Amino acid sequence: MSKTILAVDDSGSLRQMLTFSLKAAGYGVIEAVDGRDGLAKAKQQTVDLVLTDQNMPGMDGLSLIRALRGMKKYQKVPILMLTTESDDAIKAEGRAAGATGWLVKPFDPDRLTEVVQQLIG
Amino acid sequence: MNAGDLAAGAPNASGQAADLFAGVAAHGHRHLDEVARDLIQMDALLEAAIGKLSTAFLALHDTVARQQAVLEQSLQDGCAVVGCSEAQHRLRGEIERQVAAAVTSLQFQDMASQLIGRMAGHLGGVRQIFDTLDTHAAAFAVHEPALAPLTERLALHGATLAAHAPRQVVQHGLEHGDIELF
Repeated sequence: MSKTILAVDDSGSLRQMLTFSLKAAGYGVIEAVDGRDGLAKAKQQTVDLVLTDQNMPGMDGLSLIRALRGMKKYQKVPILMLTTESDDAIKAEGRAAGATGWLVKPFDPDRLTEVVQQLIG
Repeated sequence: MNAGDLAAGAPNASGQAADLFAGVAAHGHRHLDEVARDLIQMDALLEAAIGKLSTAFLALHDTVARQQAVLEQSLQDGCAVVGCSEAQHRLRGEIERQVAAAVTSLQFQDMASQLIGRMAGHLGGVRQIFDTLDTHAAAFAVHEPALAPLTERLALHGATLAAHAPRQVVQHGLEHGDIELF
């Protein structure tokens, strides 16, 4: 059974590119348009990995990570931040919130799937 | 408190006007410098993205044509030809590389959108400056002859802007435009 990834980003084109790249690598993808939508979808079903943007209206990526890490079923699930931001302070904040890794946009599809494979097979 | 302290603590009307204009100018410049920087960055992003997309598109077109030729050759010669299979495999790899480059380039919209959001924020800041000036315009009722040349220059700038401003871009999408023959 293929692993499922939750892709959270307010940019429609970015979600499209993520879904295209991850499905081509054999993963199932659930899309969410912001942190709140991501949290609701993560509650509805269990996913194997979460990929989230940082800057989103409503609920940002760091808040989403904190909320997910507060749920028992997401304490060990890998969560990757995929964002344009790359300064050390926000990365440290992401790490403290419980992010598993930090990817800076734009992403390279091959590199992304390599990282995902490394984390969830 | 001596006269000097009073002057420093409570500047006269001319001094207040000078401080006000200097403050407005500095605040406005800060916002506009950020907008100018973001525009340059967006231009660079767009150029890079379109350049990469064009290259990927042309390479895909070329590779698909070569793949077709290999397919036709393998149909003519029989599917068991080893050379054909290797060529197919190589071409498939090339297509995947070009698609990956296109996927990376297509993400420029996300970054452009963030830059536009930042620019909108800074333009909002400039608007707030003018709104504040407008709200407190009555305070300028104080007779101030030195302001007259400034008012005239602003009126001149306004007229020049209206006369020379480029037309607005009317396209809101990238659907092809209508064709009209006369």
